[in-house]
Amino acid sequence: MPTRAANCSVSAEVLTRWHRIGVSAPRRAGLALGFSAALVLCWRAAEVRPLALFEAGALSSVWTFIRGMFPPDLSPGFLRVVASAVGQTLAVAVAGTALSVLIGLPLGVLSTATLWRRGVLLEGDNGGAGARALAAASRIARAMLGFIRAVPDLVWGLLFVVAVGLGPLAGALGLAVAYGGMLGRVYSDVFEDVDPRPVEALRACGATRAQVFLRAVWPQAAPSVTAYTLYSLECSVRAASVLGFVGAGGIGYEINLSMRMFEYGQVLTLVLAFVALLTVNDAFSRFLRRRLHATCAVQDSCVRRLRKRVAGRFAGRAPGVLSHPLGSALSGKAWPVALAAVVGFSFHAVGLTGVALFDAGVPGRVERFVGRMFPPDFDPSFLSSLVNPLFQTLGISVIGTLIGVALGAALALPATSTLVLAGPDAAGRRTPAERAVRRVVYQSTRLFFTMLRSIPELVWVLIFILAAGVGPFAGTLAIGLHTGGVLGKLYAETLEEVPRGPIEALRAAGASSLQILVWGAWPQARPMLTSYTVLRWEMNLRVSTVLGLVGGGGLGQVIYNNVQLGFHARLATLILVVYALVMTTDWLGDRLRRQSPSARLAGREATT
Amino acid sequence: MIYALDNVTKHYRTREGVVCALDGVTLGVRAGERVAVIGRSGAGKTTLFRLLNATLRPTGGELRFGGREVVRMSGHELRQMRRRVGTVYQQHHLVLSLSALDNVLCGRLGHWSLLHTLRNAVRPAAAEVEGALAALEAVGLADKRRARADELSGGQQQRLAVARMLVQNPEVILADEPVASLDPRLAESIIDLMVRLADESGRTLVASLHAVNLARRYFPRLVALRQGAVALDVKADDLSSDVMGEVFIDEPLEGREMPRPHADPRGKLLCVR
Repeated sequence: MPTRAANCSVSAEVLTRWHRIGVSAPRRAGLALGFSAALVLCWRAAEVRPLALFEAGALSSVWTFIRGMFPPDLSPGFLRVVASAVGQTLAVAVAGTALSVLIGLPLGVLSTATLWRRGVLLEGDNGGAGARALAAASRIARAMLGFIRAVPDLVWGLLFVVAVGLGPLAGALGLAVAYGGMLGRVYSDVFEDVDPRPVEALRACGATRAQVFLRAVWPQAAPSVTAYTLYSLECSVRAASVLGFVGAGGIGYEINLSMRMFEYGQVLTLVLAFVALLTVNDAFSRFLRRRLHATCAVQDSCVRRLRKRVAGRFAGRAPGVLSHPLGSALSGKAWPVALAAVVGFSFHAVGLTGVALFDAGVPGRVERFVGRMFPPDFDPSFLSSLVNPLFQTLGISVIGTLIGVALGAALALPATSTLVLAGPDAAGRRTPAERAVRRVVYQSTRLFFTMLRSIPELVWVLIFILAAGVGPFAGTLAIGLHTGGVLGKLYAETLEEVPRGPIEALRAAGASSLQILVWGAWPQARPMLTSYTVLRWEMNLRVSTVLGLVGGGGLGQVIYNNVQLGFHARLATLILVVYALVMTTDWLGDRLRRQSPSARLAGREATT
Repeated sequence: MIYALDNVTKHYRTREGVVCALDGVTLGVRAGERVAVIGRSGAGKTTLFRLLNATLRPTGGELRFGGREVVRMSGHELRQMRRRVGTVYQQHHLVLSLSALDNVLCGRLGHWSLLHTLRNAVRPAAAEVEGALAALEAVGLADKRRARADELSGGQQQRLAVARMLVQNPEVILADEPVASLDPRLAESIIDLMVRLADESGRTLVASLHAVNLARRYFPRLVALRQGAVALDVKADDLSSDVMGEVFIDEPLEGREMPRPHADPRGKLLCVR
């Protein structure tokens, strides 16, 4: 019977949708079951209690908070405090970045495999003792870089707070180590990517290793090295502001302090100053980049790639787009002097001068602290007490990311200019009023994303503690809101950047905006969206290990407690646990991203 | 008259200034007619097609579809109109990450309500799949329905684009250089297919072509565009091939090069006649 045959073929068609993914029915059911079980576990571990937000106590304390914020404290005395906090944050960022270059450059050179193979550091593969020693050093350098990058910068900050005491010095040192690890990896990628031919040529005419590096490798790498260092300065301003939450001075410290003293008017002033600082910072680095890339035709895309790459936990290959000699833009005589002055002043401001360091007995204190950390405490009862916080951290990151995905996905649509705003050439009639409404919707969603993004997770935690109390739920909500802002923007940009041809074809066939979204934009954007989401989850996991430092639950809580109690051997164990957890999720995330060839492609895009 | 263009102009604003792509095109197309639009690249063919399927808004002049002026249509009316007009593009514009069948189903979007759209995104209705399979059958791609669009060859992708246009069941078929990126044998088979499909049901067919011989063979009426204006509008039989070739298609002889429409850096409009 024809109809019957047609029906069969129809269900066969539907089935092929699944077969294309290559998953059999029972396995699919198993996967679905596994996923939902994991979700339920995460939900429980994160102690999600949506109703708790609407209890009378929660509502009234949120109301107190909001009412207390107005008017913001603008008294001259407090503004002076704010100004000095902002200055301190900047000083920490500059000093930290300068030190991180000193740490990152040697580690980056040491860990670059290409430099070895091509014999820049090594005369051929003769296998002498010197060569073996250098090879071992390279491996150690790479392992160190991996370890440094796996431990969140906030934890580094906390370690230095314990070692050298409260204040900006700890912040600068923590940043120096954390960003040293990041920059080392990035520099190493840059050195890997240099054109090998000049290197060969110089070696062929008898140049020494140092000459080859200085004359063939460095000139090629210098532009990218400068660009990434500048970008890392931008990132470290953000990081420096947050480091204050663990006692490393600056604006984060003041926010934490005012929050704990219930001075919500001060909190608002500080948060506004914070957002202003980050906005100025963004604008300034945009301006710098524009100066440096004045002639770069693909400036936007290279900046975006740079961002994605650095956002992608500084992994992946270096982009080959930064081919313009930044040196020429910086060649003015005033630059080095100004730079030296700024760095020198920052060092002075954070107490990083030789005299200050030795007066305060910093080296001795660091030595004693490190000595107390070894050997790490592997007592079984302590280890088993970590299982719960570990799951809590995992649950916070998963549920927080899911909240962010839901928020971002829902709000990405009104923030997608190609869906909301028609091009000036598009056919069809739109009244001025409709156009104005659409523009307002678009702009206000974008503004909302910016707000969610620019307030860091730790500030969100402090706010949600008021509503949900200390614990993992506050951390989950904090991650959810911040991630919502980040992912919403990324989702909207991805949807805007899908190939236009198919979209126009669907529109020409009479498709509505929603249909174009479902049938045209979504299938094209899916791999990219997945990749961004997984990447963000990996980053959130790092964040969720430190949320506990301000009361957001998870491993951070245990870290904080052990720091307070002075159990430094346990602290060492905890850092190893964080390291293992981050490494595991990075591996898992890589696997998730590499599921399909197109996703792999997008993954490469997202990290490069 | 299904299309009535009266002195239609189209300007693009680019970074270098304003470019005049169409400069006073007056043209009528009767229902059921078969028209080939010929002209060198840059003559305004693609712009003309984008105006005809109402994805672009004309800068000036009047463009009527079935008696209604396109500029005055609301979003809903535009959708209704676009549903009646099926377009095949040179770069086929398929959603490469969807299967051949899903791509064909995209052609039905204009016919679906919101509810249908969501339902069909999860699991297409039986009738829709049947129609799509029939269209794939018609272009000889029935065995490829499960393949992703990016797994198909160039000719297959173009046939798939034809199938997507077919399920739309349009009154007017627009084909913008549908065969420019195909080899001559394949090109002819696609043109043949489209002409056949148009003839069977008395649809209007407007196609732009590079190959003037192909155009003369399959299309009774030829419209030549030059620098954004209609240079010639004749019956194919009235024209000797050497005249066409000399004036419009071949590379211009030395010293006879026509100035192309170009942009004025100061933003002043420059239309070259």
